[in-house]
Amino acid sequence: MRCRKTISYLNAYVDGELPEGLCPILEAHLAACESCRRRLEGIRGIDEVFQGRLPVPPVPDGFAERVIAEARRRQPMRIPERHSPSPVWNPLQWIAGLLAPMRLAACVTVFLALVAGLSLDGRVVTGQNVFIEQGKDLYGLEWFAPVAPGSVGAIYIAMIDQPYAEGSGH
Amino acid sequence: MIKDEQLMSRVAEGDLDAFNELVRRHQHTAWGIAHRFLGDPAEAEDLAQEAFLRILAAAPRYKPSAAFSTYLYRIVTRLCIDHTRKKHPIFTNTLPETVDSSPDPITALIQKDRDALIRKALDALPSRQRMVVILKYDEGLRYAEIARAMGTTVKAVERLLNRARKTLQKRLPYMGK
Repeated sequence: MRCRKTISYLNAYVDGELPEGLCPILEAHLAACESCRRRLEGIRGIDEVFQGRLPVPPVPDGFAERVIAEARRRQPMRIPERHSPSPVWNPLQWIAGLLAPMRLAACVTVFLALVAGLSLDGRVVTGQNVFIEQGKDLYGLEWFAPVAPGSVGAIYIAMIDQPYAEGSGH
Repeated sequence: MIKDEQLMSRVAEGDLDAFNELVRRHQHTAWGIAHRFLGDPAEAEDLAQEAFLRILAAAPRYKPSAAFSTYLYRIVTRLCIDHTRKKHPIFTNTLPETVDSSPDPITALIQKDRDALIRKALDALPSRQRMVVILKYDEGLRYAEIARAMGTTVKAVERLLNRARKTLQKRLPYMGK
């Protein structure tokens, strides 16, 4: 092995990184070459100087705590996932989307329907006929033009006036 | 004992207790490398802290293809080298051009002066050579480990170490003999 090649292997040889097969060859050259031996001694000298010789003070007190504190500060807030509650069915939700006059008309219509339903099944505390009269008033039918005979309105009013049929339980 | 890689998996899920454990296990390594490299305790602490915070931020992407210690070395090394690109080492201006060549100077030096000279000689090295010396002599890493920590090849590590040793021999000619 020539000097140039030997010198290129000296660092690995000192550090125990040289492939095993090369060690005997390198050592044979070193035994015969003073120049290469001096270079080897120079490398080993630096090794002795630096091997664990750099003084390092201990880790500052509270270092780990400060790291964790900074980690908590940087870590974004994690909002826990919540399961959205099932939307509650709101039967009157549709009214919210209506304009005011339409809401009024809707309310009146619903009210009239309720009253008509109550009147049809006859569950009224006061007298049936009284209720019917009251129902007519409640319906506000007097506000409408007199119905023509035979019209749907006339039939409707006739139904209101008609006594309950048999079997209604009243 | 829970392995570092397992702790990292927990850290990836947001477990700060696992992160705390990793910091306590490896704070000496991070701090030691940073302090040997930078020489200033305050800067070393900042850098070591930043290294751990970067590990925390990158935890979701961590893959245990290498040991956690290799990962830590890589991050600390990179931060150290990047740091020197922004500022010079603190001892650069005070490094003498040559060491006193009077006969047997070692006996004339007290241990404090000797360590100071070693410190200055190390600080005068280019950052990558300095890091190789630290990882080799103080961390006891082998060439392959140093190469992984520095993101380079084994051959490059050998060249860096060879140059560093030549420079150190020139600056510290009578030490080690």
